Amino acid sequence: MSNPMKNRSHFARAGVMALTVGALATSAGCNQDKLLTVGTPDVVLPSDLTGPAALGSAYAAAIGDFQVAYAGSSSSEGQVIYSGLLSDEFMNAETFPTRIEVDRRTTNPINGSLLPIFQNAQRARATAELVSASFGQYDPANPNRAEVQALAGFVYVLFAENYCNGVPTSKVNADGSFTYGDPQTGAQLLTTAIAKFDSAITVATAAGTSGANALNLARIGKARAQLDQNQYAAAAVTAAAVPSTYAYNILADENTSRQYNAVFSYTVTSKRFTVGDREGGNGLPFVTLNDPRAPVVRTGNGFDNATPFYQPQKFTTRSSPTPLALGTEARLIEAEAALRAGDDATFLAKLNDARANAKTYAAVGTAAPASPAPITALAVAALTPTGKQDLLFQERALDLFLTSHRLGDLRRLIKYYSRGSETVFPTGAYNPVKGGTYGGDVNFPIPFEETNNPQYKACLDRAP
Amino acid sequence: MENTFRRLLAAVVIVLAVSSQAVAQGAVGTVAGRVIDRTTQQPLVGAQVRVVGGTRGSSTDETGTYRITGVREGAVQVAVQRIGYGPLSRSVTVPAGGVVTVDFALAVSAAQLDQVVVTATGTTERKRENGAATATIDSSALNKAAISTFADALSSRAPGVVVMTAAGETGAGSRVRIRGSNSISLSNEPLIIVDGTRVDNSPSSTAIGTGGQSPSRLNDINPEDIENVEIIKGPAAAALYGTAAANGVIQITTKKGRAGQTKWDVFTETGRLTDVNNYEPNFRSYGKTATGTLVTNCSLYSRVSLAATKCVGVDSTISNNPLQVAGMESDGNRRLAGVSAAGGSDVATYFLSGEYQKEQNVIQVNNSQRMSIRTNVRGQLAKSLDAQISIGFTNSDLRRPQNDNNAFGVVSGSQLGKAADCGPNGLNLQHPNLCSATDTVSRGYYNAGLPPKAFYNINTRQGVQRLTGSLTSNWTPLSWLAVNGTFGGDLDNRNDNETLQPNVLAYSQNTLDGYRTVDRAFVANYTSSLNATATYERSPTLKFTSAVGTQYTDVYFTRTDAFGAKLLGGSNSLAGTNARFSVGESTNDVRTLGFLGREQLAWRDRVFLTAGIRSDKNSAFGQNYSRVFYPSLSGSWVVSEENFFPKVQAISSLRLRAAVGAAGQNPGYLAAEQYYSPVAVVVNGVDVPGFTIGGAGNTSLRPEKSTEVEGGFDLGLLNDRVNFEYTHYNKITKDALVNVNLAPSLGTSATRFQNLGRVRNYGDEALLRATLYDGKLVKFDLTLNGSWTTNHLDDLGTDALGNRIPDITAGFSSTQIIKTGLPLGAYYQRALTYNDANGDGLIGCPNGRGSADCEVTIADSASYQGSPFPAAEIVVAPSLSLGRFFRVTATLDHRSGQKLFNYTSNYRNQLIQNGSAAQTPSSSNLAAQAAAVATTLAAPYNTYAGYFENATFTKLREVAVTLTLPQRFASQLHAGSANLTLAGRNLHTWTNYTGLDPESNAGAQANFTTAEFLTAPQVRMFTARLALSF
Repeated sequence: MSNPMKNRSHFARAGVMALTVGALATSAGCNQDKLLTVGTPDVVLPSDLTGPAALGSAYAAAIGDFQVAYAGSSSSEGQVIYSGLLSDEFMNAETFPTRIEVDRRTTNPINGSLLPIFQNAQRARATAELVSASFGQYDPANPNRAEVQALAGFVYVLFAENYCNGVPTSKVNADGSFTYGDPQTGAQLLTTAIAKFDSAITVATAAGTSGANALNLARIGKARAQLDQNQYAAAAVTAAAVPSTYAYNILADENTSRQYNAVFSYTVTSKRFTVGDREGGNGLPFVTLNDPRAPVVRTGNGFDNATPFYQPQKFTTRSSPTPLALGTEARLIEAEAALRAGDDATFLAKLNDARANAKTYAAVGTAAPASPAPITALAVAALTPTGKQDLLFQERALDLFLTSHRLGDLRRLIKYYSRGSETVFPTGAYNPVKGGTYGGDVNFPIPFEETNNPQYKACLDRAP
Repeated sequence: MENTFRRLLAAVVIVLAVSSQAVAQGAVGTVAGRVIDRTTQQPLVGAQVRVVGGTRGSSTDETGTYRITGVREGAVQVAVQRIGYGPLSRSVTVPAGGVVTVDFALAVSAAQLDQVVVTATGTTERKRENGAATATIDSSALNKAAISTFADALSSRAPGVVVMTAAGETGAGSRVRIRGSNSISLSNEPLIIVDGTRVDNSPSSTAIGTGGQSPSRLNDINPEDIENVEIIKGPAAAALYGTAAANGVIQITTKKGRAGQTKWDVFTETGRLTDVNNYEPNFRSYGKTATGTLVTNCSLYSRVSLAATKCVGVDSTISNNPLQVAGMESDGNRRLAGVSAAGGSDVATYFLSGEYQKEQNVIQVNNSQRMSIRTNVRGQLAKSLDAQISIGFTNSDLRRPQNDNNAFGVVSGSQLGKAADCGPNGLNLQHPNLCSATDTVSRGYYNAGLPPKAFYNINTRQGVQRLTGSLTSNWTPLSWLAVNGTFGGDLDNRNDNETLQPNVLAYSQNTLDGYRTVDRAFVANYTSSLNATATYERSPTLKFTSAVGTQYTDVYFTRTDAFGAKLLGGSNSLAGTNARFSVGESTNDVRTLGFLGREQLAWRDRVFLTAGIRSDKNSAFGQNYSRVFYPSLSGSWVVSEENFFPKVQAISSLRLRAAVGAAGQNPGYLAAEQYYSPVAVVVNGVDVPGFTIGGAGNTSLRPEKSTEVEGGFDLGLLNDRVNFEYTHYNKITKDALVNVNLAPSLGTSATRFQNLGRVRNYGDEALLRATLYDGKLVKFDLTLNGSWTTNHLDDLGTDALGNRIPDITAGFSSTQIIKTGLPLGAYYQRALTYNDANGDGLIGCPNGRGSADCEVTIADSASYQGSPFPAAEIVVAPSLSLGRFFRVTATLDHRSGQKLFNYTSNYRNQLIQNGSAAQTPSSSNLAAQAAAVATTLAAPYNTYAGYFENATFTKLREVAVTLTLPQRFASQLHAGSANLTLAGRNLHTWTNYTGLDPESNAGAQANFTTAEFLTAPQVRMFTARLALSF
């Protein structure tokens, strides 16, 4: 057998081959790193977003993340819908078990629908804090900084009002490492919120006229937090300077589905959640009242084809804004302080001020109805102390309908007005279309995924 | 990127140029001969003849002859193989410029020791040389009439290869698992290589969801074009394929031409698709309360209620099957026609084929058309240089139905619908609180007041133009050195679109407005490889084979999406839309550069030791990680050829083999990067650019690496009429890339990839091929293959602080889990037991868990409830031939050990309350009642455990009868031969699973999500096929 290589070293031959292949590879211009360099055209890197030039887009980022967290989007319910679902504003009219759980007050921490709602809120907080810090570094006197600080404060308020005790706030450090936060009680969260509102008030006040919008936003936020702390008198003082006509709206837009008004998407578009009417016996009769501040219209049955569907008229387009802070809320806070102080006259005046300045709603293309008529002194005088409380909370429920206030209010009724949880929350037999009975949730659990935070184990408690 | 490919192209050109300069250096000759059946002395057509260790080969024509040109001079091994016959190989010396004749007489045999397979370096070797088990599916063994997709061609053919078909929709994809699931968060689909080029293996390839099912690019591959499929099952064998090969490799070789007269093959096929599934109707019971008040939903819950509205007596039960009464389905059909031509000369061979197929599913709006063209041309450019161009083109148009998790679905709308035909005959009025008084059109479908076929107006389509091509060149500059290079690309232009004309679907204002969405994607897989192989015969008994090579792959994806609403009637274009415009663009690009080396020692052609190593760099690795190494080692010993081996008549051959090796998977594009995503934000009434959290990034990401050890034996019995192969494997995936949930409180991305986990798969595979009877007129072959797989997560890992990573929930309603000690994607819920304590034939729990009258017991904590993946598969494939004129084959597939979440039943009996457990509860369906009741309990004790059903099944997947028509009939058609095949697919299922199909899965091609959820089940198919050869 002829083999010219027989007497050569096999390994030398292998070396020759390797060199051949290597040479060919090199001749192909194989700069390995260059061959492996890929572009990132669809995203922006952190380096693109630093410096004063990026403050404009950073401000927008904070607003955008807050919008999704609070008012939702086409594919995320947001705090407004979810808190409405757990309270008596909304009833489930569809077939998704995870959202039925929420409505039925039996939400499991592994509930898959719960997670993005909490995630979005935490992102809104983190983005607002990051952007606020960026303003602090490059343009500390900018009134937009105050606005962003206030938005961060509102996220803390929403955590305190809507979630169990134990919400942690953690941080991604500049080097990409994580600093995990400890679980915080609602009281701790509110303290943080007030600090942020105070900071916002300072910056906004210094900005003068250009800071007026942020100033009123921060004042209402602070007053709301104080009310949640049962500091009603202090809350009234904080809210007093806010004009009754003031409104800070979270805007929506048809431009992208992320900007859609979620209530519109989940009611008009897909009929997932219907406005409640004495839900679970204790709920307010939103449908029956059909108040101009929270009007409804019957549009057949819900997505489940069985639950009667009442569509809220407050959000009639994808671009409908969602109020976050209203001057009328300031009046209602003052009214509550007056009620707690036994000052019926002020109580009535503030309620009627809020009524007179309330925004009313109607179907698209029709004129908004008149404000609700003033409440008479006689009517108030006829009420028992409990009746006055009910009146106040009904006024709040109607004026602040679907703005993520109602759940916090129901909890306040339990905590500060000595109501039993089963006297304010929906209870008893659940929607007969779906079966079962209401559970005992008065807030949301923190999603199971938070256990990836080594500081966190579970809610500290589920107390109101 | 253009520069990159210009350079690679240049490299190929250089290879060819250098080759052409050097061709004179290598002397070559020709190998030719004839292959016949040893018993009958008849010529064997279609036998594959190859030069072992190289890339050259041919196949025999009708006269049994073959011719291989350009073979290097000197001693070579020539091997021949054909299904049903024992492969043979022979050493011959090829004279420079001359022809050596090598004839083979093949004996009927089941043994495959000398079957030739393709290696990672582009050359071939006999199975006896490789210590790892490689499965081969020969095209001639597939009865094409019984299969309609490439997934069908793979399914139930090879031990350890499990194809999970999720639905009966035309165009729906499948999951493919080889030796279990390795990866927690990355794909578990195998790498697919066609003629040396990596191709798109996306199991779920669409941008538009229709509820569950998605097209799979696997099914773009035309089974008609395939010569054979080699399945390299795991890292022990696939190490040299490197990063991307951890899940195994499916290596497809397409048909080639052969020297000789042009041979034409023409075929046509027609078939019928029938839905033979037994859909449970929708029920509704009516009754009375104790006070005589009408109860319009006398459900299980009402019957066990403690309220005054409790139903105490059933007056009537009505039922309706909307799918049937609305005439939503009709028998489908399948049409297929194709032609191929193969021929050539010593210097050039060619294969050309074309096929057109059209399939109409039983669902009216589910159909497909596909045209495939393939051209394979090989040219002998010089004595020692050849080049082969392989080009396949597919143009398809698929219309997809709404189904699965979709209230607009054909099956879902019916299954969740009403027990009355809310049709034009006014039946709705007879059944209070069921049909809406104004509904006269829904026929009981879910959406009241809407004709179910109105949803057929949603026109969801996918158009694909896919070009897969490769240029392969083999150069033998020296008798001991062979160089081969491949440059190939798989270019896929995908157009997903959905159009709804205005005013045809009155579901909502959105649907009345109409809309159009278009998502155009370009998916490209580029492969460039260059390998050199040297052989060295140290002595007549000792031979070394060395190979080195380099490979570069680029997997590129880009997609542009656009949407517009308020469509102008009649328009089928975005140009006709007028509102809510939205656009998007996404890009994905992952590149790998690898170097490999392989050394094989062959001693007396019966002991083989092979060592190899591959090293890869990858663009998706983190900045802090540079290069990965994948070593491998294998040994093979044909011990029966040793002198000391006892010559027992019963044992004709025995090979012992073992192999160990590693392969990997790269992280996903951008997984290592911290980034933000651009978004629009409305500020002060004006949309401005903003951003939001994108990815948290991880600069230390490295590939996950699977290491596998396998060992086994091949045993030939009774003169190789019986062949038995056994393999045991143990595969561990370390550094598993886990898409870890991040604590939401970080306010960053929801998840982040980390190298954390350790996954183990181990199991056994057995393959028995036997010619049980081989008479003059009757031949009976039997193939049995079985695989037993155990999969579990060894460890989910710990974070940087040493804290254990919490379990990861998955699946519908978070019913599945990734948890240490359990199979990946295990069903995990609180266990459920029940007892009809009061003996009333009803299961109730009206006062909640733990109450005295509660007849279900829920465990205090969740526990393992089963795996959705089968633990065992046994396939029986008999074949009976009567003379040369009649052959019948069948495939019986048994899978066991898996459970399936019957989410459909849950919805029907808990939420919609139209199922038999909810409306006709009795002592015969207590388990179903308990399952439903358990889901209504307050969290966290609401468990789905009662819906995890044993999904063990046995399916008669295929039966085919082939008649070779008399010559006079063929002659009348001017054909050399004619075959008629009658085949059936999905013929019968034996199972205790109570849903529609134990293979149904609305999770479709998802990694683990598995549940039957309103899925259109598989349909039965009968086909007739006429094939003519000229």
